[in-house]
Amino acid sequence: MKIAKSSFYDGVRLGLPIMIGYIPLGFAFGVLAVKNGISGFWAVMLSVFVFAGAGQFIAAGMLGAGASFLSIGAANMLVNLRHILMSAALVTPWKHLPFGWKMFLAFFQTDEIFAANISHYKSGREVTVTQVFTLALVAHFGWIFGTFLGAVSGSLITNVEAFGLDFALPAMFTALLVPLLADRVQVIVCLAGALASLGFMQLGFDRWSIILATLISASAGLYLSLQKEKN
Amino acid sequence: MSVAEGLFFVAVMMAGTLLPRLLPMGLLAKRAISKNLQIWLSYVPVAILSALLAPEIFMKNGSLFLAKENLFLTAFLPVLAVAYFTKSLFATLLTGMVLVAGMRYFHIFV
Repeated sequence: MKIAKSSFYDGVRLGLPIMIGYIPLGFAFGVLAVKNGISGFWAVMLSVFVFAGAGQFIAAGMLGAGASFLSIGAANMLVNLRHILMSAALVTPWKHLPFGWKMFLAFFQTDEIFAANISHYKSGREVTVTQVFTLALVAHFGWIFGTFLGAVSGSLITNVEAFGLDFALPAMFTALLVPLLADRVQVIVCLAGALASLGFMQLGFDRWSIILATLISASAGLYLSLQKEKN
Repeated sequence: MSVAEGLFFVAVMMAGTLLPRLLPMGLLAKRAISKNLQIWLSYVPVAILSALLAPEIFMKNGSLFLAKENLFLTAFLPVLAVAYFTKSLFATLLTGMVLVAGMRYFHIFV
């Protein structure tokens, strides 16, 4: 029981800040969805069953521009391709969890939840189904609740920028990234990823930039750490 | 949006989320991962987060925007410091949002 309790507490501790970040993001999505012709009900359903921040924002925009459901689905798949790498990166931290749970919990791995799970694993604390599931539920609740608030108040609030809500995402990425920079190679990977991503964006690779930059900088990390081992 | 349309839309969107998140876990879970792949994967979190973050901070509408008028860039240094010293997601988030909202409200740099 003691183990279960501390796992539950870990999940809440890791999930709460993400929830606080997801409420304004979900809110912004709810507003945008309603403005682009997705009814409040379906906006909330998307947040419950899809749970893909960037994908949902793109879907709302594309729907407003008159795109078909299938092309929107394909765009969502494309922006979510980076999650292939995240899913693979969780195999080792989740090695000991039951297979069915792993498949279920994999659904919830957004960028932020994934990063929180990785930093929890790296901190050496116990990785359990309770911890991962609690973290996921707390964060997911923020996303759904934010969407609901945004959908119902869609027409009332026009300016999310006045509250700095548009900075929630970059601030969250920063907070998740910094603790992972534990050694020199990770710092180099970080700088390489940032530069490559900016470079590809400038060259017009658009949504592929993130995946290309990730592949290149993680490979640079592998190369450097193999070099380090040799010496 | 009718019920049938809504269900179809959610199902199509859900497939786009589920496949990338479940497939690698399902395929790799019961296999031994080579040591080099493990090392490579250990750099993936930092690689992805920096690739996602950099364009948010340094670009606007698809092109580089390196000036103090880029409020995200101006706010980034203090936010980075708070992230480094507090290691707190909440403190970092709050600092960032208050800074950006504050600069907009008091018309600092904008």
